[in-house]
Amino acid sequence: MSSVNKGTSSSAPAIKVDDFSFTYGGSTEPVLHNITLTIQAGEFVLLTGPSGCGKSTLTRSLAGFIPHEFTGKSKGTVRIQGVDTRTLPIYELAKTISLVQQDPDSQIVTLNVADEIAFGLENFQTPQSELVQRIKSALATVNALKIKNRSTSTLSGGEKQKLALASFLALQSPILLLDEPTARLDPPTAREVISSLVQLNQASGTTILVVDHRISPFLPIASRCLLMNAGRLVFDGNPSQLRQHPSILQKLGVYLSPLENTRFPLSRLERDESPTLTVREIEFSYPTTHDSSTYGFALKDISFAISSGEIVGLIGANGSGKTTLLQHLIGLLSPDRGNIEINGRPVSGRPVSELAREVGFVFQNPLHQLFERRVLDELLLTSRHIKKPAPNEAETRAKSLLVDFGLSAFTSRSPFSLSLGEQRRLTIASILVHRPSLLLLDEPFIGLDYRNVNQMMTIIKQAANEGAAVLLATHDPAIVHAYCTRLLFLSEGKLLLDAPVHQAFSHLRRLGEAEYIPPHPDKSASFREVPK
Amino acid sequence: MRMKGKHLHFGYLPHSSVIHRLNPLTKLTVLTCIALLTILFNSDITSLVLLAFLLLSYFAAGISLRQIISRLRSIFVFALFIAVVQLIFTSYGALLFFLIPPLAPGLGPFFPITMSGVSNAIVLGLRLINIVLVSAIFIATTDPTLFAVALTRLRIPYRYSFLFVLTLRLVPLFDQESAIVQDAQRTRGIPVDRGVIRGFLTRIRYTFFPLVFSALNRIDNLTLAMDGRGFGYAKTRTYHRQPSFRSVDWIITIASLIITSLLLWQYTFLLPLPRLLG
Amino acid sequence: MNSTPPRYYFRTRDLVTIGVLSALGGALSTYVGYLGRLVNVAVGVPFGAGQFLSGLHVFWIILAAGLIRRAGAASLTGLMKGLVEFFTGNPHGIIIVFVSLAQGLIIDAGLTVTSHRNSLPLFCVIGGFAAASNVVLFQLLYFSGIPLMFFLLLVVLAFSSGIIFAGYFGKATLDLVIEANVTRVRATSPSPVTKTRAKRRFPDPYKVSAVVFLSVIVIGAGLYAVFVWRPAVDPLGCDVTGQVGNPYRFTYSAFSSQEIIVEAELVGSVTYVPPQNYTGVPLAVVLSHARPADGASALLVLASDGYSATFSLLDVLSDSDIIIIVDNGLRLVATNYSGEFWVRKVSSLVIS
Repeated sequence: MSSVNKGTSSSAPAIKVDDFSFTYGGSTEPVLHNITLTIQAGEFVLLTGPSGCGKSTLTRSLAGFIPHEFTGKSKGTVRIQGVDTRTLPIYELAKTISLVQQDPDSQIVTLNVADEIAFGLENFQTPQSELVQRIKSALATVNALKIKNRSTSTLSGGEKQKLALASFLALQSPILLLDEPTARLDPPTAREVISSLVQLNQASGTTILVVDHRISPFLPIASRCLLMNAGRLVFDGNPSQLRQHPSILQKLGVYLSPLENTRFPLSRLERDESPTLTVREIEFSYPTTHDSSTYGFALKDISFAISSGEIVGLIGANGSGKTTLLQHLIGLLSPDRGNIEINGRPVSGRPVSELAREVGFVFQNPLHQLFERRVLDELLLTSRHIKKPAPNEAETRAKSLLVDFGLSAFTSRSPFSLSLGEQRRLTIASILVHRPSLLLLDEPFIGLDYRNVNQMMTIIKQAANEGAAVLLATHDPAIVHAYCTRLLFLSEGKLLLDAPVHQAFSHLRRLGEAEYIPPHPDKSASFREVPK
Repeated sequence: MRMKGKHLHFGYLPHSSVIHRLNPLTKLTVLTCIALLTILFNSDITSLVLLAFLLLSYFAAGISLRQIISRLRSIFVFALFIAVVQLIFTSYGALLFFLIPPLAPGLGPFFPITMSGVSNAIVLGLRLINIVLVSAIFIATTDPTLFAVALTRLRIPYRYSFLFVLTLRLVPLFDQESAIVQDAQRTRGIPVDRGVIRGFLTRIRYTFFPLVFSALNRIDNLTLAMDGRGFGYAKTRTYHRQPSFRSVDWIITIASLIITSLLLWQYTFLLPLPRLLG
Repeated sequence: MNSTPPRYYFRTRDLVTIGVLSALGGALSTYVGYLGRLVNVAVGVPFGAGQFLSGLHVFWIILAAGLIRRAGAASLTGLMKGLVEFFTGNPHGIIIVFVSLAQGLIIDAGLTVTSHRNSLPLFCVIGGFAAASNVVLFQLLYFSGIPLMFFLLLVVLAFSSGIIFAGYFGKATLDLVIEANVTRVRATSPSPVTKTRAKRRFPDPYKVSAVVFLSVIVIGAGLYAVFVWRPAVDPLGCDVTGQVGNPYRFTYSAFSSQEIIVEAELVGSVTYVPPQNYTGVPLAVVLSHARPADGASALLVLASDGYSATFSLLDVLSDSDIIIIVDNGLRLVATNYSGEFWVRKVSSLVIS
């Protein structure tokens, strides 16, 4: 498949990087060191590596945004179809190479879906008569024709991701770079997106480079794998060669699947007389004034309990009601029917700021929950408001948490100046100071490599060992598999499954939801034999 | 106080009435003319005529006035308040009656209601209401994207008119983020729902900082997403949908410009316009 | 690096910065309005005290201007923020576009004149002016005859708000943004990080809020003093000024010995009060006491509600039937003049 080449007639490789290094302005540490790389037209390449290894900087360099948009020092050359990126203005390069970035909300720039697809074509002065057809065919490629007349603000996360992709596909550039195209998608939608990429690569000969932490879905389709670490290219070969070196991968924080053997003994799972959290038959629907298409499904008759020491995974498709359910558990939403108790006391009627004493909540985007000017103050924020624990004790605990989380060097830095991984660790550290008995985590790992995930989960496990109950919503079945004791599966607002993880995966297969089962089922099968 | 989705519902109400189909520039001209006349003229007759014209336009646009009024209730209450104040406290002009008759010899009468008071109440109350109504019908019948496209006909470079589309697209996103940030404050134990005075400034900071930083963080990606799709490739661009400028647009634009200039000419040279029972 | 793209005055990044900040300002204007109502409730007035937060609208414009550092950025931000608020249904309608644009123009003017000096006092002053401009503009557009005193208080309130929220808070945020380096700020000084860190002085939020609320309460009390108590202090006086040898403040009690009784008939365009007796001080006496200059020929009678009437000075001086009486303040009984000349709530007599 790697030799299909309809896109270009020139014999120059699609991408040719020669001894390229780059240092961002204002920094002394190079982000890219002497990268040399050639990608032929029609290849499907997977690029992976730990967070902060320079993957995103490399894609920016390939698309020409470095040096055109970002100041800094560079050395060496990047050629796209034989042309040095420095010699062409950015919008000329844009005709040849497209970069689809991670967050679709930061890429959609118009009010309607059709306008968004047309945006690039209009800029390149495509005649009006061609536009309608090009809009349709771009949407058809990502299997999203039905959203054509929608307003962009009413799209779901998955639809936005498809739109962002389609708006670049419409330009029909021969080279396509994608940065974590599936990170925010539920497994079925992720599979859809991946198959449109395969289709594009095979049918139109588009050269594709995918950057991702979750490499397993791409291993069967990529013709080539690149591995980066600390700004250097450390592996360049085919996927089967990569599989042969799992230990190298693990050292770099890239796992074929996350760490195993980290779970609790099953005795922990026995039913508890006085669970930390009890949810009984709650039902909820959004008020009809809301545009129902923009919100998740209502919750239907949900009951479950979580005990002290448990780490429970909550999975389900985008819009299945995971966030809605979590919001109920801390009183941000109130059920229409049914009741929720935390430590035996009903949630209803208590203000959220009061519930914060017992419940810690981590939102998806760390930037929405960082308030203070210094990292240490951020940790002390809650205890200052709820007056628990005493100031001295809180400060001691906060400082020791900063050490545990590897953040002690930033104690008096601004939280906003940290990297994404550091910010995510900080948000979790901030809810641990006053030792809440229930931790609710809503997709806290998007965009992080498994080394970061592992570091964070180690501390969450420690909190669970000290008695906290944890509920973790995620798209990534591998994380549930590796760290959770039990699994809740939501579908269209209904709780379809509540079972220990190893049983849950076989149930899921029976339910026809195989996409929620992590790869390597052979290994998960072995867990059935864990003695009681 | 949860404000989720306040802005999600833009003023634009898609429809296919006569007024919806007018070119945005035509409507902008009429809007400007009416706003100018409303602000400059202190005449109750002009105000009432404009009000009648606006009510007629709502009928033509097929927009329920009740919906607009319920959405902008506060401003109507405020207009009523202004009118009542004018009515009660304007003490010059021809006396109609006293609000409070003499209570005892030497006590009262109080609050004379005069013709000038009635006139002032109409002028100042309607000034607010007319501007609100003309603004509301403009945004209810104008697709913002087509408005931006239409602006390029005034030789405004598309990079600037498109900036308006980009800005408007981000509003619902930030609106949702603002709701999330306020939720996050509460989950961190900050009592947003109680205590009006305590920590007022801190609350503003807790709301502004996360939103400012999360918004600024989007700048890189948005810039690349636009430049990466050829934004600024040429001085002009094509459009897959464009508002048409028909003969009815010419007629309305020219008519409103002529009427407004005539009235302004009169206003400038015969100042002030005859006031009802002056 | 020798590419020759059509150079634009504002790069895409600048435009995006403007878009992002205007959109956020527009989205948060509902929140700021809500806070403003809280302030009104706290102070106990139906409206007005919310001006205390008007600086929060200017905050966005100052932040954008500080990040982009090019003339025109503030105006463009103001315009975009206004347009977005207009299109999302701001209750002021199209007016908000002009109010917001004016704020941008003021900031642009201030920053351009000082060639974008990054100084706190500068930010405070232009922030203050920009915030205060909204009061002036609304007053011009919706002139509703509110007393000058009230207007001035609102201007002062908005100005202080501009100092606090646009100037101080805006500058502090800008420094923090530069420190965190979330945006690549256009060519700033070589090491903004160390500089701003040394200078970073944040107000203690509790101290500041105490000061702010104290001032709000003082201003609120001032408003009430002006509105409720002023009439009680000396309701029966007016200034006699203009081309006079002895400008003074006329008080009815000082002249009560000169009272006379006249019979007069009030004939207005609609009102009619049949002839009856009025007791008061002759206007001629009041005016003579001020010793009008020889050349003076006209008398302007001003009322506290803004109404006025002009008389011929010579006619009035020789007419002993025009008197000033006490009737809910001072009132002119202009015998033999039509109803428009019977000025109520006389506040000053200006001779020219």
